[in-house]
Amino acid sequence: MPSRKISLGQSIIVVLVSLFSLSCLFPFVMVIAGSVSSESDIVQHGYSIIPRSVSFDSYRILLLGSNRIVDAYVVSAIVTVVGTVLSLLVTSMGAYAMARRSFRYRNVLSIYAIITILFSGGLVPWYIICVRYLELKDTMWAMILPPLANAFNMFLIRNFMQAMPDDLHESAKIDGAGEFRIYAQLIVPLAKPVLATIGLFVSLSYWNDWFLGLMFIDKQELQPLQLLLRTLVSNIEFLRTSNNAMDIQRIASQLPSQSLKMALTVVTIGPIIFLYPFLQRYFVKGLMVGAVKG
Amino acid sequence: MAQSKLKPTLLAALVLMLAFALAACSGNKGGEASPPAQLGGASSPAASAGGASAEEEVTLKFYFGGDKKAATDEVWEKISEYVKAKGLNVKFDINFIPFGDFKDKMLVMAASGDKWDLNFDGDWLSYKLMAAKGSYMALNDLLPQHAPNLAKKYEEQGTLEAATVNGQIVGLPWTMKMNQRYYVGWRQDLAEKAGIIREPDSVKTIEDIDQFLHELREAYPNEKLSRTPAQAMYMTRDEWVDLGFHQLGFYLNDPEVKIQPIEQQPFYLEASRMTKKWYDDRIINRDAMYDKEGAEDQWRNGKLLFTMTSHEWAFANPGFSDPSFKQQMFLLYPDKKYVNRTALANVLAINRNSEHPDRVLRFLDMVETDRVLYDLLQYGIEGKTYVLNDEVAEYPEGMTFTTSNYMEWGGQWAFWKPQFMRPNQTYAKDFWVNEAEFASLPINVNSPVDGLFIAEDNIKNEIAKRDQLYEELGKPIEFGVVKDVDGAIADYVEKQKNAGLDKIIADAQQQIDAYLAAKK
Repeated sequence: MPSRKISLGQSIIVVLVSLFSLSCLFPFVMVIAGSVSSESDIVQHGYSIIPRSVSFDSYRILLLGSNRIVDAYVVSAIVTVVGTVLSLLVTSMGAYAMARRSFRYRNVLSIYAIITILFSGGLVPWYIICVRYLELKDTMWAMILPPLANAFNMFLIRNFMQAMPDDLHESAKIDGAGEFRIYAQLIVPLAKPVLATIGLFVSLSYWNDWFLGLMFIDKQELQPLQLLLRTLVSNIEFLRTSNNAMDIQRIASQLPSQSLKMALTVVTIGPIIFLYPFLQRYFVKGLMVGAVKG
Repeated sequence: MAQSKLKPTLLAALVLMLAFALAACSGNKGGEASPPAQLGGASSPAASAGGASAEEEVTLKFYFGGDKKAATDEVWEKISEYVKAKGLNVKFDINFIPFGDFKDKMLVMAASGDKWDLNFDGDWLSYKLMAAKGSYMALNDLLPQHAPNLAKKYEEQGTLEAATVNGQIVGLPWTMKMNQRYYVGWRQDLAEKAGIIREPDSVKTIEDIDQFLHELREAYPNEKLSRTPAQAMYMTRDEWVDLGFHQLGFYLNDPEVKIQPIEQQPFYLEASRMTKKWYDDRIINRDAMYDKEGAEDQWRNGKLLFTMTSHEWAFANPGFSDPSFKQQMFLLYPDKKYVNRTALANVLAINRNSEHPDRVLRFLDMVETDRVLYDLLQYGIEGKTYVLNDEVAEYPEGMTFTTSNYMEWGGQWAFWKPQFMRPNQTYAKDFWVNEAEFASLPINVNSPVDGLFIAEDNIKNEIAKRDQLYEELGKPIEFGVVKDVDGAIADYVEKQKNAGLDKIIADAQQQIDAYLAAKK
C-alpha cells in the first residue's frame, strides 16, 4: 500500500498546519490566562500564557449580582434566537420576492432596499420612530425589531436564489404549488447554505449588540448581556480616567480593569462559539454547490 | 422599457420617504417647543407642604450615570416613604446610563423630546451641549419659589452664574466649593533622609522647585523622580487660565478676556526651556510623555518622589501603600490669583419636558436641609447598604467598592453637601467645609467664563489640524523631548498659524464676547 506512506513533503505540511492550528489557540489561552491574572501582574509584566499569580477577582466582580448576569444571559439568548429566526424569515421572504422574475416590481423593491443601505434617517428620527410610534421602549422587541430586515443580507440571499433555475418554479407551479409553498418547501431547503451563513451573521450581531439595549432599555432586568458587561467595563474605565470621580479614584485604581476585560471576553464568547461547529457543514456545502455549478 | 416605467414610481417613493423623514423631524421639534412654563405655577408650592393629603402621588423619573447598584430601588423606596411623611407625595423611577455612553444617550433623548424629570450631568459629560441646545428647563422663577434654602445657598456661593445661559438658570450645580490650584510636594521621609530639609511654606516659586529637584537628583541618582513638566507652574505664576479648549486660554488680569494660543505666550518658551533642562538632567522621567499609569497610583505606591497636586490631596489622607511614607506639600505662588474649580463639574438638571419640576425642586430643597434624608440618599439603609463606625459610613461586611449594593453610586456627587458629608478614610471630619473655606480666600476667584460653551461647528477642520499639530509637535516640546527648544517652538507657532489659528481664535472670541455680553 504505497498510498499509506506519508511522504516527507506531506509530513512537513502536516506539521506546519498543526503548528498553525495550535497558534490559533494561542490568543484564546492568553485571554483565559489574562482573566485569572492579578491586575498588578498585567500592568507590570504584560499578559502571559501562564498567570504569575492567580486571582479570580474579575470574575467575582462580573458575577456580583449573580442574578443580574443570569437574567442578562436569558435576555440575550431569547433575543438572539427569536431575532435570528424572524430575521431569516423576513429577509429570505423579501429576497425571494426580489429574485422572482415573474414579479414585476422586483426592481422597485430592490431599489427601495438599496436606499436603506445608502441613506439613514439619522439617530434621532430613528429613536423617535422606535419610541414614540412603535412604543418599543423597555420591551424586548426593541432589541429584536430594529435590525430585523437587513438589505445587505437580503441581497446576498437574492443573488443566491437568482442563480436557481426558473424551471424549478415552473414545474412546481404545474404541480399546483402556490407561491408560499414554493418558497417554503422548495427554495428555502435549497438555499440552506446561504441561510446558514446569513443566520450566523445575524445571530452574531444580535448576540453582540448592546447599542439597542443602551438606547431603549432602562429596566435593568431587560438589559442584554453585552450591555451589562459594557456598562461594567465602561464605568470602571471611566472612574479610572476621569478626575471628576475624585473620591472614588483612589479605590478605582485598584479595580482590575485589564483582567476584567479578559474575564468578560471569556463570559461572552462562551455560548456563541458553539454555533460555529453546527453551521460549519453548511459552509463547506455552500462552497461545493458553487463549485459544481461553475 | 420596464425601466422607463419605473422611474416615476421611484421618484414617488423617494418623495414619500423624504416627506416622512421631514415630518418626523418637524413633529419632534413641535413637541419640544411646547412650553412647560405654566406647570410650576399650577402645582402647590413648597410652603403648603402641610396639605399633603390634597396632593396626588406622582412618579419622578431620574437618570444618573454609571451602574445601577443592586439595592438602588429599595433605597429609593425608603426615600419615597421618608419624603411622603414630610409632605412630598412622590415615588421615584431611577435609571442609570453607563458613563461611556452618557452623552450620546442624553442628547438623543433630549432631541427626541423624551420626558424625564431630573438627571445628573457635568461639564465633562453632556451638560454644556444640553444647556446650549435648551434641553434643560429654565428655573429662574421656580427655584426660589420651591427650593428657597437651596436658592439661598447658591446665592451665598455665587455659583449659579455659571449655570446661567442667556439669562436663564438651567442647571443646579453641586454646592461643594473647591479650588484646584497647585501644590507641589515630595516624599518628606526620603528628602530628609538625604539631608534636604525645607521649612513649611518656604517653597513657593519655580526657582525654589528647580533647586530642590536638583538636590534630590543628586541624593537619589537612580530613582524615578518626577513626571511633571514645568508648564503648569508657569501658568500659575502668570495667572494664565487654560480654557480647556485646544490649548487656548487667557490671562486672568485681562478684563476683556482675550483668548490667545498658549504656544505664543512668553511663559511657554520659559517653561519649555525649564522642562528641557529637567529632561536633560534626568529629573523628568524619560517616559513621562507616554506613561499611561495613573500618577496618583505611582505616588501612592512610592514610585514617584515629586508630584504636583491640589489643596484637596495636600490635606487628604494620601493612602500610601507603606505607612512609613510621608509627604510634604507647598502652595505654589500663594499670592497669585487662580480660578476655582467649576461648579459645573457635577450638576443636576431638570428636563425641559418635566411635568413636575416643582416636586423635584422641593425634593432637592429637602436634601439641602435634612441630614436624615441626606444619609438615606448618599449611603442608603443603615445595616443593609452601609454600617456606621463612629461617624464614618463603611461598607457592610464582605462588600467593597465594586460589589457594594448601594454606596458610591454614580452621580451621587451632585448631591454632595459639605455640611452633611460623613468623614471617611480619606477625608477627615469637616474636610469639605475647610476645602470650601480655602476656595473662598481672595486669591481664589471664580472664572469670568465659567459655564461658557464654545461651539466648534464652524471651525471643525481648523481644530482637527490644531489638535494634530499639538500631538505631533506641541507635546514633545512640553515634555522636553525636543533637541532645540527655541527652534521647535518657532516652527510650531508658525505651523499652527498656517493651520488656521486665526479663524479658531476669531470664532471663539466672538462666542466669548457674546457670552460676556449676555451676562452683563
